[in-house]
Amino acid sequence: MADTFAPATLRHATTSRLSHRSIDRAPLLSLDPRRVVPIPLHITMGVTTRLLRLAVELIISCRGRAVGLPYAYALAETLRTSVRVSPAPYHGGVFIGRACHAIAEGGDAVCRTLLGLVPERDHVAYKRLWALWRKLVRTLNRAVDVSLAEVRDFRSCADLFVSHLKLCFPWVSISPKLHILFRHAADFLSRFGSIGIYGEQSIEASHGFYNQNAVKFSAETEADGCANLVRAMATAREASDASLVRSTRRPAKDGARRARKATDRRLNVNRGGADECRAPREKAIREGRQWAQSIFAEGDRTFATVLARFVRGG
Amino acid sequence: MARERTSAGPACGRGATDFARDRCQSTYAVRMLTLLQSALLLFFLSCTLRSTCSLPDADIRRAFPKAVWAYRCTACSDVFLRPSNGLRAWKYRAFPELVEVLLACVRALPAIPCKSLRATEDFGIPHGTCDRCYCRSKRARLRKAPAETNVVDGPVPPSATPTLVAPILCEKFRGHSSAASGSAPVGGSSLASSVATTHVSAGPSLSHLAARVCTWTRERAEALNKADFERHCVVRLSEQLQAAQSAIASARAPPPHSPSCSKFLALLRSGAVWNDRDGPTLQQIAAAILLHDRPPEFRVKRANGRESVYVKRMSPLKARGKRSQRNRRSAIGSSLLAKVSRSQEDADVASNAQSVAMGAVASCRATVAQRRRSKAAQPLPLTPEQQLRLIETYGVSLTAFNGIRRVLGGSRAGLASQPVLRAARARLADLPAKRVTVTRTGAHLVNLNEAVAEKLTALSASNGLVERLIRGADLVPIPQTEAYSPPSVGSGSCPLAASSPPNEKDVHLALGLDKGGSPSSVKVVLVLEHKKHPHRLSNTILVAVYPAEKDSYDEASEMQKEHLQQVRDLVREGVVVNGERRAVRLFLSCDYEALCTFHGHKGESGTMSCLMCYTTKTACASHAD
Repeated sequence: MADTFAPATLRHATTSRLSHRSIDRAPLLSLDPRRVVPIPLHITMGVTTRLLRLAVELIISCRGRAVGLPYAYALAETLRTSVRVSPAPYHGGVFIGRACHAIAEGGDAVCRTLLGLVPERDHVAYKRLWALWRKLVRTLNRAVDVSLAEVRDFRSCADLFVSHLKLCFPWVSISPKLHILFRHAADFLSRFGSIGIYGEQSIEASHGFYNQNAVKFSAETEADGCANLVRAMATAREASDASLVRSTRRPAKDGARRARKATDRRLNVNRGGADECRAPREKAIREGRQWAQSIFAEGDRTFATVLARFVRGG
Repeated sequence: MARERTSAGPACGRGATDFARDRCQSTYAVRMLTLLQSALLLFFLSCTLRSTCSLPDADIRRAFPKAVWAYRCTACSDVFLRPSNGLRAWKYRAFPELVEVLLACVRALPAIPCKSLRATEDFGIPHGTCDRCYCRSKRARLRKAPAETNVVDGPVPPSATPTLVAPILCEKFRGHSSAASGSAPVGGSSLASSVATTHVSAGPSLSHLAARVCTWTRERAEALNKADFERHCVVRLSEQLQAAQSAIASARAPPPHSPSCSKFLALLRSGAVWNDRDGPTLQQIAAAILLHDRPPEFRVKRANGRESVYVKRMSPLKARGKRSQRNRRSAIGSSLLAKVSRSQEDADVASNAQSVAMGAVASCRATVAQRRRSKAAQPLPLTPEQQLRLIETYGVSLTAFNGIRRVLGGSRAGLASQPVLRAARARLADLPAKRVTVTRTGAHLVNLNEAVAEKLTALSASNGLVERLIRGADLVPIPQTEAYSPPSVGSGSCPLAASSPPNEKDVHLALGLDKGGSPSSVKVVLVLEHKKHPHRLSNTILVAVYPAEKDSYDEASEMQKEHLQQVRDLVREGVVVNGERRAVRLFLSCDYEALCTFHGHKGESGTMSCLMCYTTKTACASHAD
């Protein structure tokens, strides 16, 4: 099926342009489509942003455009104070992968911002979306072999997530990432046992390494600077952990470091004090407002497009 | 009455002086008799006490069913009771199973505090120093004069022992019976002390009486000695006769044989060898039996017939101890190793051998731990190449590393200098797996196949290779049993487009391409998925880096034509791991834009936006089904 008729497997020289199926250039590398990794990191970031934007679109659809922007500001502030995440400017002004996991875990805080602003049916549907996504994201990015039961659970949750999204919020289009999530991710997971192992995290880490040591690798030309980076990485490739004395401390048991009382200092609300300087706080608020403006603009455009399509009778 | 009075008359008529003289003589005789009686009583009491003080240990031990409240003075070799509450309870307690005479004799022992009680012996009674011996020795020490009594164990020489046969000096009788221990047949010192006490209490008018008593006593002792001598002669003759008879019997009888074990056990149970002399020997016998046989259990039969079984039980150490416990065990092992090997050099050799046996990783950790424990600075076991790898991994400049090295003591710290590190870097750069070429568009590895093989070899050598098995339709991993055989060049098959069979041994490599960083550059990364943490930066192979603002198709095709052929060759030929060839199962792991670039796809704007199926872009109702 997919591996037999996928457009990526078709040979460019022997097929006509119409049969290329949106492949208009010669493939640089012909590969079995079953071995294309379902981009777990980018799916996580994209779907998280889409769900947050969906909340703004819900407000616009129920309360109008004027309420949308204040709500987006409130949402950014909720994420900053309750979930304690902020958009990363070096990452295109969106949340990084770890922040996406934190948002998925704190999805209830996002859902509470919709209370009283949208109908109960939409609120419940939105809350269910976050519950399903929380299950999916745990399996999607974990770099271990998952069990058979988890594979089955992932497949059912992915199908349910996309069908529920399309059924309750019909203006949401199925992006390629959502398509990969509910059509191909489960197949890849059941065949190779994990998605997170084959993820694209390592190449993102190489970007960060280059950013940190750009001064060290600088040379007369950019190509020489790149060569310095490649040489350094080739030299560091064989660095063995056996040369290091690592601490053998084991992680605590599950739930050992959870707050057990309402007055526990582990809870953010009980910590108090000035754990944050004024300047970083203002910077985080400013970046959060920028992010809120961007998702409001995009959500407003999406909803306007849907309305226009609806008016046209599409 | 008158006659009586008449008869009494002449007596009375003899004069008051005669009467008074007669009366005085009768009183004197009575007093003399009384004194003699008391002296004899004291003499016999002293004899009795003397005899009880020399009771054998077995009898004394038998008189105390539980705790022994008696002790033997090591200075005077006499036995005394130890005053305590337990002794008081023992005195008022009835022991029907014991002989009354023995109990009476033991109870008649003097109760004298023990100054230094020694450990209780297994087959005797406790030893100690009685109060009087202790005080005497202490006074002797204070006077810095040789003590009259020998405090240490051992009998007193007979020449120093005052006997009744020798002339008795009253001044010498102030001591207690320890001075007369040894061969004295009777307790003359006790008698003398009692006489001296009587002399003191009677006053100077009775001194001549004491002298007479002494004379009488000496005569009595001579008589006793004479009788004793005769008796000893008879006993000696009878002993000689018995010896002659036994010699004749032994000459006729077969050679003597050692007593059987049952006889010895019977003797042991009867208490015949339970004394101070045989105690250590019995302990040696028991130790020899137990150490030689190493019986798994010990059976002890009690007097009431009950048998107790003691089983040796090994208490194993916990397999997984905590950190402090592990450190403690390691320290104990190291100390034992040093004791066994007798020298530090041997200990180092043995430690190294032990480390080699425990594996390379453990060896490095043990070496580091030993280096931490040792006070003297030892050179680091890392080669300059290894140090350089760590420097590059953690992004430390050579200048900073050299500064740290100088702070730590320069070459004594075992850290390589800058020229050495530069030479090591040059050596590494010449290796085929690490050679880098710079082209017009960017930099990339010269030999990708060598780089992958080097990484796999290192991974296999450190036992860090994690197998990734492909699952079948039933989600069960399929074991990889068949080796990979590369197709011929002219066969026309393309291993990239066609997956190798799942039961073929393979290596999973993920090829990634992404644009990012500052300054912006496109990076091509090859990730080996056979590690526990494959996304760690040191586990990846940076294949190429191109300075670019975007990863469009035209730029990417221009940049990647250098190394994509290497990727194709790698997939076709496979890699050799542990002497067997494995297929390379290549994955594409990058964002959607890079995937579209690889495939020459239009991207999200295309009608068929998915790279893996024929789905169309337009959302339809089937999505909600």
